[in-house]
Amino acid sequence: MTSKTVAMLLAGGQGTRLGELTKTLAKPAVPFGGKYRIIDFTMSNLANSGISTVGLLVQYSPLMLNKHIGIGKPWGLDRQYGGVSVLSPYSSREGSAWFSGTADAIVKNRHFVEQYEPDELIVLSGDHIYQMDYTKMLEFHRENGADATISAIEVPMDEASRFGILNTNDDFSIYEFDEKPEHPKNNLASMGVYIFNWSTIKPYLLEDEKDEGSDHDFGKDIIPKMLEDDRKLFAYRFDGYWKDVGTIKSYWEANMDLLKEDFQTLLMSKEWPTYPNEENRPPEYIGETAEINNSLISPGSFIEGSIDNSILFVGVETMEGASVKDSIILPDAVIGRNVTLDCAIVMSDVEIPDGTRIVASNDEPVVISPDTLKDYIAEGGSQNG
Amino acid sequence: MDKGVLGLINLQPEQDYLDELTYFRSSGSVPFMGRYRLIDFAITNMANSGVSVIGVFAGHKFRSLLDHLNRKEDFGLEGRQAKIFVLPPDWNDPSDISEGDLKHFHNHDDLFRRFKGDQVIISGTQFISNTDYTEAVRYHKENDKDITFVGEEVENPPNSPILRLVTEGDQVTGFTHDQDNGHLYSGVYIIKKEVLKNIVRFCIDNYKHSLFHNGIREKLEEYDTGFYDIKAKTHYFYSVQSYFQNSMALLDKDRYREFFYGQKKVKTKVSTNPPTLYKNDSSAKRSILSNGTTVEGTVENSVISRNVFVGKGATVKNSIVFANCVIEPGAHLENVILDKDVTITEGRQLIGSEEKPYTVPKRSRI
Repeated sequence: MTSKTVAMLLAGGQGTRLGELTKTLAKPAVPFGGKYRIIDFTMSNLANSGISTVGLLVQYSPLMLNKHIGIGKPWGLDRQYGGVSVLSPYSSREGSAWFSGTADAIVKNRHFVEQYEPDELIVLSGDHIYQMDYTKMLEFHRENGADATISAIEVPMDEASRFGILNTNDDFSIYEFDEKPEHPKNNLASMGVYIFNWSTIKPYLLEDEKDEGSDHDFGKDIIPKMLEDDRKLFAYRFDGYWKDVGTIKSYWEANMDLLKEDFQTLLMSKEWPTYPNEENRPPEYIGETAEINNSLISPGSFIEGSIDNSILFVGVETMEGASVKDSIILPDAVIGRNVTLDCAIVMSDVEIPDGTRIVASNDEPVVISPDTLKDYIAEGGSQNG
Repeated sequence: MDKGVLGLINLQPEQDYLDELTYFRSSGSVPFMGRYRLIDFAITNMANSGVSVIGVFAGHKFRSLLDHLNRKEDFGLEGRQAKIFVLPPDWNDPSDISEGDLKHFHNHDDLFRRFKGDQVIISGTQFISNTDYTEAVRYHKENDKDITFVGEEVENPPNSPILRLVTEGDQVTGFTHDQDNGHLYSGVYIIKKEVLKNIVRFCIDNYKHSLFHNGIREKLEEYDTGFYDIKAKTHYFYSVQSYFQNSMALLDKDRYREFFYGQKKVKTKVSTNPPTLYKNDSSAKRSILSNGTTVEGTVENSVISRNVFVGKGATVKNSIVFANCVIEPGAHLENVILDKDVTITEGRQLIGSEEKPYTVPKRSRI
């Protein structure tokens, strides 16, 4: 069954609203949850769902992403048949061009898809945090004899206008797709997970490619076109945890969610494990002065001081008298003596000098990169967001 | 290293000297400091010295060893030519008269035959350090030694069963247990492949049991020997007590950092677990903890392996806990070693002494 399904994983997004975090890094490669990267959740979903033919579409700053995915070993996707293939923009006899939209990225790589002669194409995003069994969605898709199935989740009504909203009949067939509507009719939002019958979607993609007025986007162009043609589209309701880490705030929130009892299966589940590309580092050392509450600590760390409600990545060192609260410390950062951090995101390899005090205000986490760190120190070491 | 050196880890002469800890596993696969197993240090040191082919003579109880060593890349042995061969007993020669560990040398002769280089470095797993043997090999080759014994010279020799070297100049003339002798022998030696071959032949022809004792120790005067002082932090294992003390000694922060997180990292099998979760009201001090572990209680001065659960109000003090143990709420452990998959039920107290830590065998429920 699974070899008849090809997954295309969109991982080329720039993630502009993640600011410093995606300055030199594609959004899916942004570190997450102590030892993971954002894309690990989708890669693990594929591994756990037994979908083993994956095209990974990269474009923006792909160096770390390519290195991280490699030949897909951590997810069991280093295979003789299928496996993961990294698909970057390329030049050909016809010329060369960047991927200009989600649909464009797929159509430009149709030769990749076609070599497997799949029944279904699954289109996924590499920047969402969730655990989902795609085989169940495939079953739903087949049972309905659908042309396309879109997974959807209920979002709070007041946030619905940020999403693509699916308006459905009682049997979850879709009669309307509202992309970021001003006045949403309901709160069933698209999660950006699509299943298409390849034979159905292919002509739409080819036609869209020729349309110069199109944004070449599934949500904006392809789906509305299919609805116009009375194709059978269904919404597949998902009711687990799902988070789009589009902004610094939501990135911070999604990390903090990992510390909540209700969401701990995101990392801890034995039935649906999340696989990182694990490094070979020694167990963390917890020092004499350490006081840790509700926090995740990763290998290679040396911990002193107080760590409260925070996520520490691999190779982090915190010194005596440090106080780290509601913060995210990315790999190999050093938090000096008597440093106070409250609601901060410290980027990889940043060394925060002794005594620095960085406390976020107005609810917006502070991102500390080598560049912004200078500003905080210049301003006397006390600062808000 | 030009022509390359073959690595050999010989577990055959090592007894199951760690009591309960070696009931179900070979000495080399005894877990140490959370994620590691004792054999990791020998392998890492060889890999860091440019050795790319390592044979492991595994006498018995090697199931965990086979699993542990099944991905050479995890140990930094990268590239098509690099190999770890775990060599279990394979007595294939019907005319074979070899005995003891000579059986391994005889029946796994291909390991030596196929290797192109002309030197072999041989180690056990009762000694650990984070050392690069490159310099030792250079010394061995430059001085054209038959056998170079790797050890260390210490000012205050410890009172222990560690074997010592008697030296004259840089020649090794004997082995001793003289407690005042400060030339501690690590069990590591570098030997010319040709010399090794002759020793193996001699031992088999004369019905000898031990390559080292009969072929080397008793015939030292026949070889041009050398002593190389590795000048590194070292630990020796010869009893459960020494195992316990070595673990406790490495809970010193600087020592731990130097040993595991210096320029060269000790490598081990990579496995996947979520980061360690420290819950509210938990307390951890002066300890090392491995991933997949959840702490709700108190951990002090202890070594915690992967996937351990320390329940609310439970205390783990001066103890070593292997993987997958469950310490239920309110339990109290002090000077205890829990082997893998042990459950300590609610409120139970186990207290050993520093000299004689209380060891709980694998899969027990107390």
